[in-house]
Amino acid sequence: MKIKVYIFTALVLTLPLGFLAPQAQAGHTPTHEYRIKAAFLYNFIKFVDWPKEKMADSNEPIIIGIIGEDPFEKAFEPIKNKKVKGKKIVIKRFQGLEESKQSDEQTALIRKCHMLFICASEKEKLREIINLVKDDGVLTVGEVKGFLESGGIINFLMEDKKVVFEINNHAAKQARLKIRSKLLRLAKRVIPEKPSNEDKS
Amino acid sequence: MVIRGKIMVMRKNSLSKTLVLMLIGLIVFGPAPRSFAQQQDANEPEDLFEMSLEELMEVPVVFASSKRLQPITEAASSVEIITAEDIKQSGAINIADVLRDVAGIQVKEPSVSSHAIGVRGFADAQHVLITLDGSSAYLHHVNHTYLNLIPVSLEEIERIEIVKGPGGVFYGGSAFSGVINIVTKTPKQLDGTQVTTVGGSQDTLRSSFLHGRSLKNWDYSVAAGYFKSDYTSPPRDYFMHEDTRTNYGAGRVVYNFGDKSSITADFRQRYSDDAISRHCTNVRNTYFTLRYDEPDFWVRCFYNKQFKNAVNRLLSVDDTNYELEVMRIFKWGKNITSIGGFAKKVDFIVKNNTGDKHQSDIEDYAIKAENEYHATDHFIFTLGGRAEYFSEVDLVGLGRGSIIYKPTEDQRLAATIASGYYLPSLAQLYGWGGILPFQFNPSLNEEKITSYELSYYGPLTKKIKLKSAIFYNEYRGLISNDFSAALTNSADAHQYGLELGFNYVLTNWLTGFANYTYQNIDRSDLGSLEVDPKNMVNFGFHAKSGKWLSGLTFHYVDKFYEIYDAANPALGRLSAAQKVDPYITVDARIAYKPKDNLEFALTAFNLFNDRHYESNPVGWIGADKVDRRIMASVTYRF
Repeated sequence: MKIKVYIFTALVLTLPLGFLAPQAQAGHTPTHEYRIKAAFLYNFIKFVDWPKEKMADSNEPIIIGIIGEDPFEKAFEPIKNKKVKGKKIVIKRFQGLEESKQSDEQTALIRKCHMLFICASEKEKLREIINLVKDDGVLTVGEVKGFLESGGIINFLMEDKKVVFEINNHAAKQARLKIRSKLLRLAKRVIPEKPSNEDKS
Repeated sequence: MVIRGKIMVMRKNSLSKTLVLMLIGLIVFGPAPRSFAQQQDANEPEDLFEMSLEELMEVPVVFASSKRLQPITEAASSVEIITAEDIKQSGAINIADVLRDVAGIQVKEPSVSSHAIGVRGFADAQHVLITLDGSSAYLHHVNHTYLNLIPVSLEEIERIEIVKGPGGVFYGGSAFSGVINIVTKTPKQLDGTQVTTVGGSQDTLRSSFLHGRSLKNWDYSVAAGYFKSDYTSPPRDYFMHEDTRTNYGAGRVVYNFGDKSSITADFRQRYSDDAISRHCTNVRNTYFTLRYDEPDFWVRCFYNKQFKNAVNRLLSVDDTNYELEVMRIFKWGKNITSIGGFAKKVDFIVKNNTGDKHQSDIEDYAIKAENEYHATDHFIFTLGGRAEYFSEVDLVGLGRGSIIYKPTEDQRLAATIASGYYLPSLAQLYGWGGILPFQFNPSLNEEKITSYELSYYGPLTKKIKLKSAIFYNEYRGLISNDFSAALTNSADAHQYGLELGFNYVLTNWLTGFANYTYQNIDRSDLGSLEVDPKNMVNFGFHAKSGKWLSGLTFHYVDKFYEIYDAANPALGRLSAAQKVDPYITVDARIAYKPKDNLEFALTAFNLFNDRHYESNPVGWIGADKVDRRIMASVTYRF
């Protein structure tokens, strides 16, 4: 019966490695999914045209805001010296809406963003955050079901562990953003500019 | 109870060989590709930001290596993916043809209704596990997967995942030298209706119908297909047919509980009036799967039944498999532990026309676990094991460990050690009433493999990706089934090999691939007889210009000496090894897409008509010659 003991011991020994894994490590390491999502956000900039006043100052960077519990960690590090549309990219992180609302400065900074990624932790505050920035030409991006229906513009989905996205072009138009046809073509679902009963699927 | 299982221990001499191989590998792969150096400077992966949106949407993932979806660069074993687009561009008329482009894979076509696949040798179709959506298509009575009888059409396939080397931790005894997992399209991926019809040489007709839809929380799909083709040689016996005909149907219903969980019922059946190299009739393969999925938990129940009449109804075979699998994945930060249980029951009945009946009931239970530990952003360690009780052999165990260095998101350098076993078939253990030519032996043990591999996957330049591996395999207790005595586990062997593959983008309209395989096996029973082709070369191009697509593919397979009857694996070892000469095939395809949803194509297989055997050419069930085949196809999607 020794062999049984060996095999079961080996199996049992396999498991604790997972438990022993330093949790702190995970705190600094974005998952594969969020590295890909970060690359998507970077790509979205190329296919969205912002209102002129939002891009008027050539010295101002393009600001990607992240509101809520940030899953990206260091995922944007590789683009810290890159330029898109002739502008540098700056990542600004905001605590949850409740905390941010307590400071006018924070609220102003959120509204100044070109793109705002609304983390899943802010699921209950979606409409409030979207309403906060709806007149400021901010491209809102989320990752929860019903994001588009809440007025968000681009929503990430997982399909067979591949990252895909859907677009609310009506909300984009209301935010005075023009989404280029290539991005619309690649979206899994598009809510068209003029509301209709049937979405493209 | 007799305990026959043993933990495989690396011998001193094999350890030194492995170290030498790994050292050679490090030297070969040592000159770091361009992006290695960049990586060290930037200390962060950069490649994803260089990718287009289309590429980001297709960052490859694989299920088969560890039975969960993971980036291909984090898989514990060496993995190849064939996508739906690859399948379409190949113009193939069967799954086996699709696999011919892959380094390390040998495809044998004894006849148009039968194919045998080998991964790193052992192209007897017994030592590779083939699964459909993770469920085994393997039949225990002859330990064979009849690839052509799997109830699926080429158009229904989303991708094919090929795991090279033992995959036993999650799959058990049948995943000896590799696993081939066929992943079908979900109803959401089908999203509409597609009809394909292909016709051409040898009176071949192949057609398929697919339809899938989502309705609120429900998804459903239906699929059907038909295939008919003439054999290239006349019947060798009065009851053999001149052609093979097969049809299949499938239906799937999915109910989604919100975003995160779902329950799926999938039923499929294929019927063939003539199959397995022309001596089996009325072959019916039925699959039924019921599964419940959550992101990190799933339960799968699977029923797989094959009924067939063989040799002019001399006997009937009824092989019924029931599987139950439960898997749970624990995530601890980035570290992942998978743990699962598996239970299988096989009911096998063979009756001959004199009224004799043989019945076997197999029970198979396993627990399996693997841990994936992300030591840093770039280093991953995996360690896994499986303990399995197989009623005919008793307790067996195996393991897999790997060190993966991932300098960037799309690079992977891995050293893997994996063990596996092949459980003897019911035919090898019990015979079938004296019908089979070999002398069975109920005391047979498992065959064992220990594999050492060093592999690299990643870009060489912006336009060229390299996929390569060197491996050394040790085999113990191979079943040496000569016909003069009872079967025994008497042969040992060792094998080494190299796979070198490139995928390249020459221009924005021209892409291609090239790969080379070298493998060499020494067996204690056959010496250095080349039972596998030593050299195999594949290369091809695909071009796209406006509405036109074209492709050209070249295959070279070195000579080899076939020892197993790939045409009919139930018959086991051939009485004498048969030489199969080297052959070259060139395939070409041209397609025209007037609209996004409509395509016309013309495909030529074996364009220069190198009429050749791919398997044992002599005997009652000798192989057919492979001829030129020209096919026209139309695909319409709405």
